[in-house]
Amino acid sequence: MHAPRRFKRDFMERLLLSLQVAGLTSKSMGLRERRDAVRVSSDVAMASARGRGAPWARALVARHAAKRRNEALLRRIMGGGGYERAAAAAAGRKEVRSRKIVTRSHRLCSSRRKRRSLAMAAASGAMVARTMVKGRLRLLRRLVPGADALHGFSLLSETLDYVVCLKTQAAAARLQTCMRCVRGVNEKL
Amino acid sequence: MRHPSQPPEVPGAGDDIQDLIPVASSASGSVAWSSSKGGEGGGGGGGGDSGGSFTALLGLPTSQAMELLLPAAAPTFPADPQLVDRAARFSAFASPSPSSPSPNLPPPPGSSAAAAAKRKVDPADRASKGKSSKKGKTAAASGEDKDGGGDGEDDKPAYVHVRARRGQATDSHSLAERARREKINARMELLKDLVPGCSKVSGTALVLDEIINHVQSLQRQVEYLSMRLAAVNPRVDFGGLDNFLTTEVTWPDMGVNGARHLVQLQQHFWHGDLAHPLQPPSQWEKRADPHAPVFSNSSSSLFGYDLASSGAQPQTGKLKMEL
Repeated sequence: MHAPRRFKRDFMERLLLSLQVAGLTSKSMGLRERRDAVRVSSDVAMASARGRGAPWARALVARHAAKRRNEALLRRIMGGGGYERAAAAAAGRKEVRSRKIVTRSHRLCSSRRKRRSLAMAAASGAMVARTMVKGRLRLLRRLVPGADALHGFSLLSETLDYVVCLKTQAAAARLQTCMRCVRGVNEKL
Repeated sequence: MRHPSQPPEVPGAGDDIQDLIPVASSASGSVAWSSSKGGEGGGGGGGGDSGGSFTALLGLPTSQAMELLLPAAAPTFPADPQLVDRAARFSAFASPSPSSPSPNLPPPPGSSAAAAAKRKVDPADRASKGKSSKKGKTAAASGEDKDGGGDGEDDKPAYVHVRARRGQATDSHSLAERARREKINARMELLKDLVPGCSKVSGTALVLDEIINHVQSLQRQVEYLSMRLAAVNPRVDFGGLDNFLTTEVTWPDMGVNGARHLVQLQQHFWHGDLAHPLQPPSQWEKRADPHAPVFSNSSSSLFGYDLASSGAQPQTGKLKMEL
């Protein structure tokens, strides 16, 4: 109910396309390399089906583009222009990282302040709850791609989006595996 | 403060309206949230709000509000799935055309509750528009005005209108804060609906825990499934396009269970029911798991051989039986 049909259909089509491309590109026999190729193609399919509107999509593709090994595959799937955009996004993440350092230093200062205040006063319930929530938000930022600099509301929106798409990605992959399994068995029989 | 039993009432409303449960529970949840957060707020205040607007519902005890909501929602059920679908789409995705949904949103719901419900939303926050139109805060004048009374039937200014509740500070800071908090609570509600097993848990930290676990498990699933996918197609170029969009398998070969599971998988993917969690498919995976390595081994060794060779028979026979 949550993911729109258009997205599912788009994603499925792109997944099949990119899987085919991946099969053509990677002549390597190793299971791990094939698994990585499948992973990359599936992620790129999901991100491109989602469109440019979501920051996690760009960040996901940029994460794959940053590794040299995926370059050939990505070029074939997304075309040269798409790959250039992804590479530019991957390079742009360096700036974001410096901002992360600044925010982290801020956080350290504030935590030092809080520790001092904690030493003086007993930790109130609200303070404990807030620390817990902040810790979990930090984890969430690490999990969701491209959500590093987001706060509060936008972080939750990103997570929502990302979870919906992850669900469809897992369901599509499961469908593909089972159908190919069955098909292969049928061909054998 | 009023009805701690409020959430359990909603599932009792029946399975037909299960699609609307995010809607209804969001409405009731919003009432409960806002009441608990806003202090005495709309509950004890009662008749402070005037008119047949949705805020009058907020003035009522929540049970009456639920009664009004649910039967109002049920008769308009045929119209509502579109609304729900659209709302879900808005809440989950930033829609490409922000202006077109808003004229379409008011006409379909026939119930007065939804019709009176409008909330002016920042264009950047249009993702929450579908949700908030169901929660239905009527637009009041901004800022200092407390009892605006008027229904917001206007177009899209660039700021958020929230009705101030009784006994609350009405300066712009606290209003903006409250608006922000309510937006965040709306997101949390959506996330709670999305992540299974979150509706029982209350409190932000635990819900976030569940969300994090869910995200991690989904990522692990994707990785495992991509490994499986890579293993299933050993040397083939991952197949042709159309073959894997539909099942072309012949059912008598597969046996009843496998066919049922595959069909269920497909239906679950395209028609995404949340009613049936993915329990059977995981069993399918667990059972198929010992097959896949066997299968890939046999297929990689059989490409050079004749398919009818006796070496192949026992394995395919075993696969056929266990499927």
